[in-house]
Order: sequence, then C-alpha cells, then structure tokens
Amino acid sequence: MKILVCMKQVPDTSEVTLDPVTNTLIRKGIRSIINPDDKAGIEAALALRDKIEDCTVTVVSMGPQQAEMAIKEALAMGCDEGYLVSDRKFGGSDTLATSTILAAALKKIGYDLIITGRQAIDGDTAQVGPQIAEHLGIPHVSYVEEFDVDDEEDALIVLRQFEDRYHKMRIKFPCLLTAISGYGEPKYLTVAGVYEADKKEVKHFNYEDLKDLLDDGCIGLKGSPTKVVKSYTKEQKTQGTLLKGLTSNEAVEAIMARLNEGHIL
Amino acid sequence: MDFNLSNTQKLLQDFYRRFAETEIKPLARKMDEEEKFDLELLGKMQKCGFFGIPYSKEYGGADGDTLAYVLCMEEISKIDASSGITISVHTSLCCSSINDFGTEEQKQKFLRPLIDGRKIGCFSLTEPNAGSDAGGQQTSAVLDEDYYVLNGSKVFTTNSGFADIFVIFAVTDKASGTDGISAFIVEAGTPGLSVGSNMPRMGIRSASNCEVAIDNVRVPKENMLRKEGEGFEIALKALDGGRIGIGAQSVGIAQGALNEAIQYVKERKQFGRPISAFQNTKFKIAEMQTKIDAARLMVWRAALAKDEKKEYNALAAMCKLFASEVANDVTRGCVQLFGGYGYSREYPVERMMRDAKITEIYEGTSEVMKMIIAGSLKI
Amino acid sequence: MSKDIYVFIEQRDGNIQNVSYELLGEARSLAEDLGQRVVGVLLGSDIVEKANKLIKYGADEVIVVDDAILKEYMTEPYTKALTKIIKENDPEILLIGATSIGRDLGPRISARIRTGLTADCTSLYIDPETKGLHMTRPAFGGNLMAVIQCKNHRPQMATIRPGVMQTLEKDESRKGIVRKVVVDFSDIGNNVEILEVIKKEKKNSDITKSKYIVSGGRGVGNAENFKLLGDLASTIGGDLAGSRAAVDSGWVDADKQVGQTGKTVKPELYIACGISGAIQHVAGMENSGLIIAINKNDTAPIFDVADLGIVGDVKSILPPLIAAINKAKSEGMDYVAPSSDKYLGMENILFNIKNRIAYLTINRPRFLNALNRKTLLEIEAVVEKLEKDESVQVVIVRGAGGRAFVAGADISKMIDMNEEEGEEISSLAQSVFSRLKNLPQVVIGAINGYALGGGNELAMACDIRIASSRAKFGQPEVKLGLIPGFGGTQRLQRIVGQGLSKELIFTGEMISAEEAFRIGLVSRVVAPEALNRVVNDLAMKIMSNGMKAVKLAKKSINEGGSIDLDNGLAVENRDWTSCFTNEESKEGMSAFVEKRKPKFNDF
Repeated sequence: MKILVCMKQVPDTSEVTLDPVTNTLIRKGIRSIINPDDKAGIEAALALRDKIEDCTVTVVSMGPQQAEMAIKEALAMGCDEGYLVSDRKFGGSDTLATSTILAAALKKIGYDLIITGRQAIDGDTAQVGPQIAEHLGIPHVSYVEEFDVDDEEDALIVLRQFEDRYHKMRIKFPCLLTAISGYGEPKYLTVAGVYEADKKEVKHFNYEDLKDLLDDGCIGLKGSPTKVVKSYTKEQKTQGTLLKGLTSNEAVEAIMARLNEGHIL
Repeated sequence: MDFNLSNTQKLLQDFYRRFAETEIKPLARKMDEEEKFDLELLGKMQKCGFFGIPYSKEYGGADGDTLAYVLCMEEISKIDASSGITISVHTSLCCSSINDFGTEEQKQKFLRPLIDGRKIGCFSLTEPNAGSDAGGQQTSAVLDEDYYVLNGSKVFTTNSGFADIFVIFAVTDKASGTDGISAFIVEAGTPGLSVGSNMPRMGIRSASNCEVAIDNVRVPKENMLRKEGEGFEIALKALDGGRIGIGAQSVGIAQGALNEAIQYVKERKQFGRPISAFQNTKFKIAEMQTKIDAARLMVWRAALAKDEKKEYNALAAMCKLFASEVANDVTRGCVQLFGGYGYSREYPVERMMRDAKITEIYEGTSEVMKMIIAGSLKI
Repeated sequence: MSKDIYVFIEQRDGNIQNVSYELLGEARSLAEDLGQRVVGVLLGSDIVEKANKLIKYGADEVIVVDDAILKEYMTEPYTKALTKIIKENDPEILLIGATSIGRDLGPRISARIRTGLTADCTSLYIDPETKGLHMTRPAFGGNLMAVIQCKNHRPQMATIRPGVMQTLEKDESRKGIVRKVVVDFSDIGNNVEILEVIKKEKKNSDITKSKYIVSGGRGVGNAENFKLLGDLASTIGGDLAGSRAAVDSGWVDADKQVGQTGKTVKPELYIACGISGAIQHVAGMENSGLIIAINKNDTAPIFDVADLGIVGDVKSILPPLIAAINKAKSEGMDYVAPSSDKYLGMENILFNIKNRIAYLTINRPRFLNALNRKTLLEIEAVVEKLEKDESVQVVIVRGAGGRAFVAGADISKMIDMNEEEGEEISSLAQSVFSRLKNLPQVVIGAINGYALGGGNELAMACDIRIASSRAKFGQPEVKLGLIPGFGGTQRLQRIVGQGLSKELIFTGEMISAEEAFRIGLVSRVVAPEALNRVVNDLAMKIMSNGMKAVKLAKKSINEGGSIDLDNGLAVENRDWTSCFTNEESKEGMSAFVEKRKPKFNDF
C-alpha cells in the first residue's frame, strides 16, 4: 500500500512577533518547522505502515527550495521517500491552485491513501486537503483524530472530530484524510534517523514534470480565484483602562461591554 | 574554510534544541532542587540516540561525528548542564575508551548496548588522593588466575548512580608509575562494586556523582582494555576528547544564560522603561555574546580537528580553558542583569551560574589546561 | 447574472446553530448594500418546519432539502445538494460558518465548482465601486490581517468565524418564501459510512491550548473563593489556571500554573483574578488577546498589562458576572449595558465618564440608533452637563451595537409631522449639534457603522471623526423628498467642499469609510475591532498636551470657520496672546528649553 502525506513547511507562528516601532511582522530569525497537523499526519502514516505489509510512506511538499529541509526532517522521521514540488510558475497560488498542483503531483506518484494535515498554522485555511480530494475524485474525511485500517485492509476506520461529537466512520481506499495534531507525547527523531535521511535523495517535481496533468489557467497567480488585496497587522496593544470605585454591578457592566466589543463568547 | 553548518547539522541542532526545550526545560529546576536525575528523561534521551552520536552504525551508533556531538552538548547544556555532563561522560570518556582501545569482542559486548541506548556508562579515574595528579592512583588490580582482583575507591564518578558499565583505572604495577596503570571494563552488579550516595555539590546537582567503593571486585581478565600498563594512555586520550565536550557544555551554559537574560531585559521595566533600553545592558550583552561566539568557534575547531584525525589535544585544552571561563563570566554577568530575581531560584540563571563553575574544574582544571597548552608550545 | 447572498444553514440534531443566525444578519447587511436578497439553504432531515424561523432572522427565501441522508453531516451528500443549488441559482455570494462542518464542506464545494473560498473571515464588506466582496481574515496565528477578494469567480465564497457577526433582532413580521428542493442522492455509494455517533467528553485540557482562561492568584483568598473562578471558567467554556501562589496553596493543579516556572499561555481571553502580576507571572500570559484583571490593590502590576483593570473584590464581582454571562448566552444577543443612576437615568443614550473622557453612546441598537426627539433631548441634557464640567477633557460620541453609528432620524416618527413640528425638530437638532460642536472639550466621533442623514450630521458636529472600515456615510434625505435638516447642507460643504457636498446630497448615495477618508470626511479608517482603542488612544494623546491650549485652538478654529481670513487671523492673534496669560505656556516652553517632559495637567 502506498501512503502519501502532504506537508507544508511553515514559520513557527508561536514565535512571530510584531516590531513595536513599525508594527510589522518580524519574520527574521523565525524558525521554519513542519506544520504541526502535517507532522501528526506523518506520524500516523508511519504508525499505519508498521501494521501493514508492503506499505510505504511518501511525503510531498509544495514550496520553495528551502522546504527541502522539512522533507529531510520527514525522511529522518522514517518516511521512505520525499518529493518537493517547486516551480516559479506555481508561485502565488491560492488554496485552489495549490490543491490543483498537488493533486497532479499525487496522481503522478500514485496512492492508496493520502493524508494531509487539517490546516497550516500560517494560513489556517484547512482547504487544501478537501480540495485535493475533490480534484482527484476520491472521498475524504477531515478533522480525523485517530484512524486504523479495518480487518479486510480495504478501508480505514476513522474518528472524525466535531465541536460537540465524533463520528466513527468507515472509508474505503483510495481516500484522503486530514489529520489533527493530537495532544499525545511528541515523537522525536533519532540522531541515526537524521543521518539516514541525509543519505536519501529528495525528489523534485517542477512544472515540466506535471504539465501534462495541469491546465495553465488553473495554477499560480493566474489560476487563483482569490487575491490578497492588502494585509495589515493588528493594532498594537495600548495602555488599558483602569476603573476604580465601581460597584460590583458597574464592574460587571464594564467587563461585559469589553467582552461584547471584542466579540468574545 | 566554511563556518556554516550543513543541512543535516542544522536539522540535528534544531532537533536537539526542540528536545531540550520541550523535555528538559520543564524538569531542570526540579531535578536541581531534588539533586536527582529524572530517569524517564534519561530513557528518552537514550531513545533519541543522544548517547551514541559519534559512533559507528556497526555498533549501534548514529554514524555521526564530533561536531554533531558538540552541537548536542551545547543545545542540551543551554537548558541544563547536568543533562549535558550525563551525555558527555558516557560518550566521550566511557564509550570512547572502549571504542578506541577495545577488542571486537569487548565492543560487541559492552560498547553496543552503551551506544544503542540500552546502557549507561561511567569513567572511574579520580581518587580521593589522585585528582589532577592522576598518576597517583592507589586502586590496585592483582591477577588471580583468569581474574583481576580490584581494591580501592574512586570519587566524583559521574553517572555512577545509574551506570551499567564502569571503566575503572587501577594499578597493576606499582613500581612503574603511570606506566603501571591499567583500564578495566566492570559491569554494575559485580560483587564488591558498590556505589555510594550522591555527593552534595554546588552545581550540576542533578547529575549523578558518587563515590565508588571497590572491594575485592573480580574482573574477568578479558575485560581489560589493551594491555597491562596502558591504562594511563587510555585515560589521557579519553580526557583529550572529553574536553571538547566540556567546551561545548560551557558554551551551552553561557548561551543558555544569555538567552534568558535577553528575554528578561526586554520584559523587565525599571525607571519607566525596559532595562534593555539602557546602554549598560546593551553593551554587557554585546560583550557576552561576542565571547560566547569566540568560544563556540574554538570548540568547533577542536571538534573538526578531531574528526579530521589531526592533532587536537592543545586545541581541546584551549577551547575548554577559554569556554569554561566564558561560561563563568557570562553566567555571573547574567545574574547581575537579572538583579534580585537573578539571585532567586525562580529564574534559571542562578543555577546556570552554579553549574558553570565545574567546567573550570573537571576533566582537567584550568591550570592543567594551561600546562597542556604550554607543553604544546614546547615550554 | 449572479445574484443574491446565500447562507448555508448549519443544523445539528435538527437545531439551527447560532453561527447561521449570525450569518443571516451579516448577509442582510451585504444584501442591502447590493440591493439583493438573502437566501438560506437548509439541509437536514425532518427539518422543513425550522425554515420559517430563518426568515424572522433575515432570510428572504429559504431553500430546504429534506432527506434522511442529511441527518448527520457527511461530506458528499451535503456537497452534492449544495452544489446543485448553486448551479441552479447562481448566487453572488455564499457564506458558510467556519465550523468543523463548514470548513469541510466549503473547500469541497469550491473545488467542485472552481471558485475562490476565503477561510475563517472576521469581517466582510462590499466595495462600493466594484460591488465585489472584501473578506478580511487573520493569518500568521492572528498576527496579520489579510483582505481578500474573489473578482472573477462566482459565487464569492467565505467561511465566517462563529461569534463575530451580529444576529438580527427576531422580527416576527418578516415575510419570505420557503422552497423545497429535491436532490437525487441515489448515486451516493457506500465508500464512506458513519458507524457510530459519539457525543464528546471533554478531554483533560492543556491550558496552552485554551481559548479562554480564568486564572487566580493569592488575592483570591481561599479555596472557597477559588471555586468561583472555576464556575466562571465553565460558564465561558474556558479553563481554570493559576499563579504559582495559587498552585502552592493547593487551589489549582500544578499543570495549570501560568508563568515563568509554569506554562506560557496565549488565550483569546485571560481573566486574572487576585493576581498581583509579578514579572514571573506576566511572562507567561502577556501575549493573551484580551486581558481583564480584577484586583483589590490599584497599584498591582497586573494592571500594566491588562486591557481592562477593575479595582475590586473578586468575591463580589464574579457571581454577578457569571449571572450576566449566562443571561447574555441564553438570550443569544448582544449584551447592552443597562443604564444605571450613574448614567443620569436616560433611556436612549448611555453616558459615563472615565479618566476624564466622557463617553456618549447613542443606545438604540434595535433602531440602528436612529435619532428621535427624546434622544435629541437626552443628548442636549448631556451636552448641557458637559458645558459646565471642567473635569472632562474629551468627549467620545459613538453608537451602540455593531451596525450603526446613527442610521438617521427616526423616519417613522416624522411621517405625521406638520410644518411646525418639522421646524421644531430641525431647530432642536441644529441647536443640540451646534452646542456639541462648541463644547469646550474635544469631541471625537467614533463611527462604527451607518452614519446616515442625521447620523452623518451628528458626526460632522464632532471635532474629529474616526471611522471603522465598516462605516458608511451619506445624506439620503432627497430619497425621502426631504433635504438634510440637522445641519447637513451647511456643515458638509464646509468639510468636503461644495461640489462633493452637492453630489452626495443630490444623489443620496452611501459612501464607504475609505471613500469618506479620501474626501476628508473622516480623518482615519481603522479595523472595526480597533476603533474604540484607537479613539481612546487619540483622546489620551490629546490629553497629554496642554489642554488649555487645545481648547483655545478649538475655539479659534471653530470661530474662524465662519468668517473671512483676515478676521480669522485676528481671532488667532487674540487667542495666541491669551496663551501667555496662563501657566501652561510657561511650563511648556521652559520644559522645551530644559529638555524635559512638560507637566501640563494635574490629571
């Protein structure tokens, strides 16, 4: 069985801060990591590989050349092979164009099961996974917290998370899952694994490799229905308000007004 | 000449760093206060392969090099110097003795479980009356048929509290001075080998560091490393390499303290502004970072020389001499930047300052380092 | 030609989810901007009788697909039904709640019909020029806001974060149509099946992942009081945490400790109760979104990082707070602070004073804050009080609720007016607005939504106008056969010039906040959520200067506005001269010479 895991290299947004003077994002020195949900997908895929005979795990990432580091890390985690999908022509793709390109790459590689992270921490869109499934014409289940192969090995039993419930579902291969990073123990690499990965070659797909499966109008900036018109950083926090000498009810009013204003609750 | 780390080295560095931040950081203060190393943490470090970095895959190692190992030492010691020394003594003293001088049988039997993460090793050289003067060994080893019978005692044996394998030095020929010292591999649990309680110390308090009593310990003679009388050479060689690890540990302690201080000075406000706005703060931090970088480059240079099989013993001594001094200067400077909070145990810099001191003492004091450096200059 | 705003109505177990009502409210406002209709799409099983309620909350039409297969959410049947409806009706816009259902369904549909989808939006508005939808969403962990458009594909699709849009007041009189659509699901295979539906149990939470945290410190006093914090946490669906002191006292578990030796948290809301805020604690929570601190000690350092600090006793504040939140939750409505005696017992406006800033809030959100006689009289009463109140330095005028500043005069009350009554209301409004304009204090208008007709005229009576990006401006009187009567024909031309003024008044068209900025009607446009903060900051900034000088400058500018330049210069000369008679100018200039910060005001 062939498992493909889609993965994105993202800046560690928990380290992103704003320059207090210019109020712009400080991107310098922010480390790049494998998107946490994608990492959960890789770990789950590797766990599944151990249970199934003749099973391989391949990671596929679309991004700039430096994303090769993330693929190396995935290989160090134990993935069998890694592909970097990269081309100038792919730049500026929104989620729909990205999913179109990735779908082409996945089709080229071949798959029984595709796993993507639920969402990337830089964009937080959660769109690419389901869109890939649609392009490939296969079913998907998103927000998957746990999964296992069923007894006949022709389907997965998955636990799909909602805000208030779970669906335990059965989904036949070929299919796509979007995985949620769990709260379990983080799994680490091993030093030996890193050296093993060093010996594995990252494979590359560019536009030329995929063009027989791509419509030029559906990729890159041109193929992206959505465009970012502008972006701005949120207002800096300023000195708060301090209220003294209020009755309890006035204090409650003040708090409620503030919660309401912030659309909280 | 290239000062850049390769992608693999960067990946390793990032991995070590993340491990230290997520796994060690939450435990460091507690382990220090309880003066006890967390064995679950030890297990996790073993599983990640931190105990076999520069050793061959053939024996279960990672096939890494000394640079990969010093990167680990720095990243781990940034968060907790005790964790650093635990790795260091195992790797560069115990394992290197067996790796460099052991027979194939000895390597298969003892080195493999040490570097594949099943067992922990220690190195018993120092005695109550033989510190810098390691030649003044009093522990004796007498051949009795197929066994050597060892008697004596060792002090300051790091890792001894939980070690499975000891490399113990003992005198087989009293008349020959340093040429009469031999090295033995001794398994924990061997009758007569007993480990005392953890020695109360100023710093690196969670590392295990005990007295080892050796009372008629019968060691199969095939467990001797090399031949009788070659022990001193083995010890010196191991210590040469070990010093690069201590240099890296020193860099880690210093950088760890400085990172804490950099964060703190931005948060802490006095006289209506963050103390980072004061020129004194900026200058102090700039000076400290410069020293740390210099020390790091010296450590890397020594590590590369070792990997390239060049003469490195003076380079190792210089990097340890300098880096350990930097660790002490920087941690002291950082406590000062923190002011009263630096002295409180709520912040880790006081621990780092206490931990730093030992780097000027163990695996050869700074004075011994100067003797080695002077010796290399033929004076 | 694409038309209408479609809203996917999310139901679980047959219950319409709140986010759907919120989206109907938002769709209503977009539909008004576009002159189109709101269509709800309700998918479910045995669901058709719920459709009428959606009309009461803003839908003009509800399309219902009622089929057993739609009982529990599954991607393919839902995608199929919704795609069919989109293809048959060609909507202009499709809004979906950004829930775990919506964020599964949205991308699948967008890929099937190849259109753009913007995820997790927090605000929407229609570009007045192109009539395209601008969708604002957070990225980079909320550090960056991006505005996204989908120009050439229809529908323009967005998933909207629950809780950010405003549900409309239920309107029992609203009429609309309910249309049943039948979808053939026979080709849905058994590739995917639900084996079991499991209701969720709450996992032992990790506070670093909490959205809301209620945290307590030593100041909470005892374990009994600490239980109140737990109650508050469960009321808001958040987690309980504590400072080291609280952990050491055994009031909360060690893994819930926030701070240097505990965890670093970054929730959207952090309520710190009885926490003094030593640097060790602050290091672990200062990056939280909204920080509310309650502490008895008004010098507690926690107040330095709090957005809202309340000096008071946790024990007496939490129980009514919990009750208020429960009330707000059960009503599912915006909480509007009830007026208390402190606010002069008025019905239609809220008035309070904090830190020498007076807040005058027009509080008739149900009527988009439309001005009636009573409201004008209440404003007048407040203005009268302010004219004499020397402690207040800045007045901020704003509208309650999220949609309107003031949407105009209350037309329903004007239909039956005769000439005399008409004259009277115009005179009243003109006089109130002039007095507002001539208050000794600096008057800032915080324009959060519609400022139309009388609303725009009220805004123009403010010294400074700051607008939210959602705000809209206009003088639509001619559409009703009237002309502006609260000062619009006179003030607007003095602000934007006669040409623009005439265009706006003759066409009666609304303009966006950005357009208002371009023509100089407002001095700044900010994100809706930042409006109050920006206005507050502006007030603080002004108040850090010599207030006597600021007030003289205001007087000088106001007087000069209606006279010729030479006479204006004479006014300036007079007021400049009078500066030298007060201590403020001495202090300001000596501070400048001595290179220190001047100390102008005693507050």
